Amino acid sequence: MNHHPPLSVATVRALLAKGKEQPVATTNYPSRGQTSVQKLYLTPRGKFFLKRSSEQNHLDCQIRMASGTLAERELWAYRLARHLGLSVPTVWLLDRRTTVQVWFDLPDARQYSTYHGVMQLDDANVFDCALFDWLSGQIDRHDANYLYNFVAGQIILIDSAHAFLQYEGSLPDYLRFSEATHQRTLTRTMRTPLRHRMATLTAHQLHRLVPLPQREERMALQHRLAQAQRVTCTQDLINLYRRNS
Amino acid sequence: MNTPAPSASDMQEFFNALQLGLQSSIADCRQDNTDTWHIDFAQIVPDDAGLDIMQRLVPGSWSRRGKMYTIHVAQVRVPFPLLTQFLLLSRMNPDNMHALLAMDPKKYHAIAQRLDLQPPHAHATTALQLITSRDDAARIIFSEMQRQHLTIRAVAESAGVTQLTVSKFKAGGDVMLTTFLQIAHAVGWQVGVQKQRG
Repeated sequence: MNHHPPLSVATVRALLAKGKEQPVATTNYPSRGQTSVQKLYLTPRGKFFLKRSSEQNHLDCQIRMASGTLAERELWAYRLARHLGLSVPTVWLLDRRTTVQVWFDLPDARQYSTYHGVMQLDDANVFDCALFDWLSGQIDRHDANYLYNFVAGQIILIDSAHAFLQYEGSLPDYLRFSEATHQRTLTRTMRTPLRHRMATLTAHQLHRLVPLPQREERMALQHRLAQAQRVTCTQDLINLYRRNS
Repeated sequence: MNTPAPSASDMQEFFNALQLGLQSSIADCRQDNTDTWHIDFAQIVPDDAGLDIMQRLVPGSWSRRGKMYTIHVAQVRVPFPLLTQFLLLSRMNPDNMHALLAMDPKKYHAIAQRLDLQPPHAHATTALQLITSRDDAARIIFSEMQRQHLTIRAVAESAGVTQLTVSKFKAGGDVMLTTFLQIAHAVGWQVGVQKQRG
């Protein structure tokens, strides 16, 4: 779904300048959390979504901008996901507080479960997403922060800016759901390409992908990498979250 | 179909969902009387396929200036909350619309008729495929790999088998049943058996 050719930041800027800003809704668009500006653009290369966070947004999230802004963390999460082979929307960093990403025309999990019914999750896809969320220390994976591609039966992680902090989050929404509905496969050994790539990821490579300036956050990330490399099944990931909760 | 009159809030949700699938921009939506709503467009994008879908879902009329679309609610005859659900989930994407119809043909029957959507024949992601030979098995698996842009290496890693085994299978060679099941699982397929008819 995200077969977007590589575009430079300059090209993306030019596309936005040429593109047309589109309303995301006519009125009453629900709050999108800690982001002060959100704009959807229709460009000759498809729909792009621009997000800009304010200083107040960072204060609200208790994130020191010097240790990595929300936008930078979103870019690092994208880089890491791409390195691991996880399918996520392409992200570009326009400036320290602004990202642009490819817009997918898919419902999020909240919309799907509200308007349609139970998601049919794929074990390998859930495992890959959870392994990535654990490594990146994602603390905000609620049901509007992942899309559900109901044609392919796959979830797609979005809005991954709340990551790489010193502390761990709680069980991602999809993992909670999967634990309740896929009990028989939770302990199955997962041999996914992503797990293989995770196993061979070095601390040096990780630092190049996620150049955290703060030592404590760097150490926490490397600790999570060591934990992630020992994971063999979805239950192992659930145990990691439980142990830390 | 007798449907209850939509509330103003139902209509607002419908317009929000509609905008998500359109390339053209809605500037305002306003009620004229209990039965009539106007959609004012800030900008009409030429060849916006979403506008065609909109006109099929909610028949109405364009003003002379071509920027205002008027809907008479009583003539729509499909509940607006159902239209909202369909638009929010499908975003007017053809694959999504077909998948919704396949998942719940009864619920979306009236919408499918409006859009002239046919039930999908053999949607690669949901179809039951009959395997009667090794060649059938290889063809099905490899067409699925092609659809998902999966390489032999990726499938081999995911299935926990060697690339040589996957290549051998692709060439029509015999593989163990457990190997076949692992490869099928790696591309997202389940394997079942069905009693012969007749």
